[in-house]
Amino acid sequence: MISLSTISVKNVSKNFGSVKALQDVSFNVEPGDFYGILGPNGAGKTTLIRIITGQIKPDSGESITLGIDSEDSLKIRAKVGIVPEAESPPTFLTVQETLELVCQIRGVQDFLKKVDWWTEFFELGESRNTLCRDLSKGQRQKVMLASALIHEPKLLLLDEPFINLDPIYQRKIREYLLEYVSNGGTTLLCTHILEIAEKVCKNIALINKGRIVAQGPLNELRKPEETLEDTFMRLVTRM
Amino acid sequence: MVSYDWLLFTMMLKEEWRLHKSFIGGIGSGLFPSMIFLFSAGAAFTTQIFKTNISQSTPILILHSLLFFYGFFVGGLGQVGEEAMRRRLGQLNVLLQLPRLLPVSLRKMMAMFFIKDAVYYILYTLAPMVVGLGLGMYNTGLGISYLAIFGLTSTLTFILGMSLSFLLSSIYSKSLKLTIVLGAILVAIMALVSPLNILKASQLLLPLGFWETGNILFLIGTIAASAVLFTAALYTFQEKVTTPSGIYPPNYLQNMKAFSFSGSLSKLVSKEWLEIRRSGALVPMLFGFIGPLIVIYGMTWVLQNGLGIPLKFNTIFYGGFIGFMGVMTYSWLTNLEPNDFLNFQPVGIHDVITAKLVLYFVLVLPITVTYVLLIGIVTNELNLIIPALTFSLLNTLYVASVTTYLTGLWTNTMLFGAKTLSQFTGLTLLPLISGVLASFWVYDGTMKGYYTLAIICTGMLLLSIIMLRKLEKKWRTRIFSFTVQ
Repeated sequence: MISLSTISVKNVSKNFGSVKALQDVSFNVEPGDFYGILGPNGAGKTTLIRIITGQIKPDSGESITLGIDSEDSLKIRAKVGIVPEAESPPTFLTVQETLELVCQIRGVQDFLKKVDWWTEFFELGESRNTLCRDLSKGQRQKVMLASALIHEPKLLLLDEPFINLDPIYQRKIREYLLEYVSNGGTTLLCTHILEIAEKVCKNIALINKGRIVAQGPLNELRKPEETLEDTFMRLVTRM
Repeated sequence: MVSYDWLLFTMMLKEEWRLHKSFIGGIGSGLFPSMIFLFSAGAAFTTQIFKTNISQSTPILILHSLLFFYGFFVGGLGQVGEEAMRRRLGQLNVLLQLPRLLPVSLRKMMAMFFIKDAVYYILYTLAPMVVGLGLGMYNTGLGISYLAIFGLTSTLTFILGMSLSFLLSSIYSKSLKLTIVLGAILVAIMALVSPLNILKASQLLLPLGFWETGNILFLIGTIAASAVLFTAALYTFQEKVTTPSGIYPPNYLQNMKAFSFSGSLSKLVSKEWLEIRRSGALVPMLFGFIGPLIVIYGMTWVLQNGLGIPLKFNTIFYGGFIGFMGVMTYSWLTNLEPNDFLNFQPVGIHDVITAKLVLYFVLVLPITVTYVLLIGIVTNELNLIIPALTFSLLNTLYVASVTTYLTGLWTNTMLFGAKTLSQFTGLTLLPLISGVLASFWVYDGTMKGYYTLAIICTGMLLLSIIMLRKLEKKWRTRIFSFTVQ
């Protein structure tokens, strides 16, 4: 049966040797949602996003994204935009060439205008002919974000996308993502930066030691007068 | 108390082992030395390599030359250091990157890295090879002291090759022009041995001198030369990675047009080409292909004319080795960029492999054709040029197909796995040896040599087609990252 959810993760478990990275994880992300996967370091967030994008296989369970089984990673990658945890743009390509490469791979129409637009959006104009190798971490992260957004995908999978960005760009991206979701896009955000999650996520799943400890609408999980940090500490430390 | 240096050194050894294991698996990595042992013991027994009708100095010359070049290819650490410091290893984090975090000098780390590599590869490959060959020596009654001396000279030769390569790669990290000049001088010096015959091989490869004279000064000289090269490499190495200077006009789209003959692959071929050019790998890559071809010609010249071995090495013989040598060129192509970025784009490993294959053929085919033509003309064997070209081109295609099918984008690493190495050896050596035999038969007055070549070429073509067709199925589900699978 084809799942109607944008992302459907069912009973997914993954071990790395004796380390139980994910244990019986299930959740759904519906179209138009801004869904947050929140958890401390080593909780399993990155493993989860790698399974959703088909980069690694779960030991058990299944993950379906945009109706495609995670077994077919290439098909999923063709339809989504991904920002990984570690920024790794091509070493020997310049900023402009990297974006051109992405456009060529993804068959983006009218790509020269889009390359210009995203270069301007991230104020990378002065660095557009600099090799990605020689950019700062923040600039490299901007290239990764532009590469994930330039083809205007219906679904964004973001793994700690704000981590190397200054507050100005954190805000700019946050606002862009909110507008993207309000225009029908879907976003899955993995993060441990609770302030940002609090400002953007409609629904969240709290993950700790490979298990989902709570999930649902952010407002329902949070008790009255509780900050997200309080909620996080209450739910994560009770394990 | 365990010293900090010793701790770091043992951690580096563990790191090397775990890197191998992470990709090949523990059993594959563990079996590799056993395989080397079995290969060398088998070779020693079947060929009686140390006691045949050819003089003893011939196998010693060949083995030490091969070990020198093996050391040379292991020792190119200058680039590795720069890559580590420039974060060019993708998601792979290695101890060599410690100077970015801790108050330890890169020079010291490079020294340790060199010693670690020397110890690791001596234990992992040289020791089992020497012991394996030793069994052959025992078979011929040469005794344990002979084996000990062989082990010592082999190790020193390997380290000499590593040291020279370390120095060249350190210079290369500073100046490409100087490296080219030094490379040319080295080739010229080698030419003094063969074919000019002005110097003796033992005057360059000092351990050979010990075999010829028994004079221990040759061994001391080797140690001294290695120490000088190693120290010079350490002090030539760029301790501080220079400030950013990589600004280039946009060339990607322009290159795509130039590679439009490769169809939809041109978008990846263009990227690969920019990586080759901008990483500065083009010259050493070509040198790494042409150099061994010159060495093979030189060695066979020594065997035939210097030592009077009664074998006729003709154009077809040399043509067969070209494809085999291409493995190193392909391996270079896979070492330029970790490609982690492509994990997030709809690009499969098989797409990148195919793009690399396109570039591989663009680079090696003109050299292949030129080499065969030159040898055909020099040896006055114009009648053999067409069969030699056919054999060499199909062998190039075949070896590339085997390499890409078996090792994908991790040729250097995966060939250190027992299973992959045995498959690779079985698949590539059989046609190579058959081709070499056929090359000897073309002058026996019958058509046997030509018929054999035709069968080998047809077989290689068919197997190449099969492997290239299966490339996608084999690699489609893998990802680019080295460590995360």
